[in-house]
Amino acid sequence: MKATWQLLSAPARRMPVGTALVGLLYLAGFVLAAWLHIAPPLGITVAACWLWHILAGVTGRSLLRPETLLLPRFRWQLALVGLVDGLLTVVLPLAAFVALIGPAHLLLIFSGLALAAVLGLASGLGLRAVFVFWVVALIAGWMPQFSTALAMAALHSPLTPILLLLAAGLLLNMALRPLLTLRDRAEDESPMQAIADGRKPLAAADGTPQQRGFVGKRLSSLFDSIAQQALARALTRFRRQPSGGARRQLLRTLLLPHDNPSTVVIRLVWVALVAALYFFATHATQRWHAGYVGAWAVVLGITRFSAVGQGMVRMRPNLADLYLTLAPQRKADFQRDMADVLLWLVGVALFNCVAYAALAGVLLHEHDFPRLLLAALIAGIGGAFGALAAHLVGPESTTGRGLVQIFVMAATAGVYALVYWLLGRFGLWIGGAASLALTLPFGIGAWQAARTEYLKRDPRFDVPL
Amino acid sequence: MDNLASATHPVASNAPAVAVRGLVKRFDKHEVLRGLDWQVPSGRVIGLLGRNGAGKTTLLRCLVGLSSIDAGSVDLFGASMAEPGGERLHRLGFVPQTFDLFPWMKVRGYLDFTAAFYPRWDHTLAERLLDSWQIDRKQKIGQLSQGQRQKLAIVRSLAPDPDLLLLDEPVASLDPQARRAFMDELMALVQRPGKTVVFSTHITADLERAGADIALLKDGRIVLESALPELRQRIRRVRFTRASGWPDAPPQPGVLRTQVKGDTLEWIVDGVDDASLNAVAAREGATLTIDPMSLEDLFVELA
Repeated sequence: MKATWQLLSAPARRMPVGTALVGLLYLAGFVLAAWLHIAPPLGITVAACWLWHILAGVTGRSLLRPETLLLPRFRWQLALVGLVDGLLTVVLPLAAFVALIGPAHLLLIFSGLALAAVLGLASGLGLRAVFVFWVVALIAGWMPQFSTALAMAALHSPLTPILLLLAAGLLLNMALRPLLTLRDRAEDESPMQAIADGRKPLAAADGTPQQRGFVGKRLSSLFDSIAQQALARALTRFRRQPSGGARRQLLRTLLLPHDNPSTVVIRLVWVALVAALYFFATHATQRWHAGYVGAWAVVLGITRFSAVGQGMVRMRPNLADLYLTLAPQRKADFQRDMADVLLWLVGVALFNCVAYAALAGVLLHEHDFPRLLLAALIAGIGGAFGALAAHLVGPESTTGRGLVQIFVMAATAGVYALVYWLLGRFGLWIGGAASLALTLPFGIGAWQAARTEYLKRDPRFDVPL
Repeated sequence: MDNLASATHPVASNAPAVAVRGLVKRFDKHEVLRGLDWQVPSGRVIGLLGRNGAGKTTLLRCLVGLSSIDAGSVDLFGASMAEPGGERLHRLGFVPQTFDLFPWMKVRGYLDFTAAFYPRWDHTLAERLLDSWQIDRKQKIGQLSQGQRQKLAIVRSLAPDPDLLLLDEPVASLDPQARRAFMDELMALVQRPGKTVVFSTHITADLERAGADIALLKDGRIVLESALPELRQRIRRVRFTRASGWPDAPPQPGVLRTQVKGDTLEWIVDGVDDASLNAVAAREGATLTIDPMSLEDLFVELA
């Protein structure tokens, strides 16, 4: 039972913030169902079930390694955990809903919850095939009348629960089979690499090597090739003139190999393609306000910094070799080199914030385009500097970093809302100047304070526990 | 050998390569190094021995400055390592026990990157070793085997022509051919004047082959320092045999270990001369046999 409990509670121990969020969602679903006595809160419960299993998948991905697979009765324990998890997250909520709103569509709700659980698990485990479901959802949004008619027919068809359960079984098999097979997986990417830019699953955050699909492999290969070329150029420049700038550029190509201008633009094009596809699929049924989408764009732009906190900790052992190579005069010089290299990410994040906001403006035909861009730029400055500062000297624990990231994102969204309002209320010039006067000193001040604190700390090269 | 002739570092003639005074290193409450004092003169090859967990890796990391110290001081080339001291680090070669290089980099890119920062980098040696050890320059480091990564770490540590080479179990993952090739390179390096090597290993045959002096780390301190022939002279296995057996072993200063097997009394002795041993044999009416000990046997007895 001890092993079962260890496995079952692993996602909660590893991601307590996410688990708390899931718990709140479940609670909200039940409270609303009890209060309203209607089915709509079921969607919240399904979302909670889906989210919980994403966390379980992410955890499972780092657990399902050859070392653990060879543990005695590990597969049996895993099956037992699956059974208990199914009872807790599918059967128990189902029973609660039956008690609260009656037995209507019992089988359908059961199969829907099971599919949501498997979809979340497969997403967390890094199965690319789950994208098919999103494509289906997009097509459904593109043809709302047809999809509504289809949904109504499916709701009344006795075959729907069977179909959903079969899909869940198929997905589960596809997601788990490769991970339950013993094979070597080499880790070959920089810990500081983007893990929140949509190209990689969350699983990569703890160093778990991820599976890549066809597009992922091609993109990764392209990024690697560009990184090699960038390294060669930086080396040539450094050998010709070993200035401070050339040194920083060379270090950047080592520590942030996929954050050079070419790869930033490629990622942007990729995001633009996905966003455009989503927009064209949903514009018939959904109305978006460019101002709100701008907030999303800014928050998305600064999510890159979550990888800094995680990457800096994970990269400690690798930095030992770099320390000897750079041969700093003082320890603080080495810290300064590291901090200054990371400053490049502020530029990358700002570019992303503005570019994503511009994309939102173009797709939504925003009439006040300059206001949207300026708000994204100004909020992005504060958010990017603040996020870098927070992750540079912030807590090292997973929970602490998660809380910092949530705080930074919420604060950035708040700043964006304030800036957007100021620009609307006082105009671009006065509102812009006032916003800049608020965000720029704060952002740069936070960065300077964090940098000073970081320089005081001794470099660390121990393996993170 | 690019740049090698043009950029030579001064080697302090008098200062020891390594000088450690009162070094204390704790991990939480566990004190691994307990006021360790140690000096390694320039131009010596030292084999650092100690049992698992004795603190060899910790000591080497403290020397390089990769682990903070809780008390005491570490000097390299006559200057304190409280700060790394710039170019001084380039006079160091370090092969860690685990090979945390840059797994996302390709071998070629990694070596080019590293070489760019070194004023002297022996490209010829690096290329020769890469060829000899069949390390694919186009492969990512993360995709190399453990042994290949160790070889790459050795290439990286030897190519800057270091004055002080610190090796933490450098041959643990190497096959016999690679181990021999590595030892050849090491011998070639230490034949140059002023080169100092400290390497920890459990493969004592390599230390014997290198003619290394021995430093034994035990209970957080260096408890023994000696040249290998001197050590062999000092510490020996002696056997006294007599038909009546050995109900009580006779007292004798300098005996490290006593064992009775049937009619044979076996001692491991430290610094007991032949005359004293012959006197014991005569007094007890026993025949005396004195055997030299291999380094491995010495290690087993002392560590």
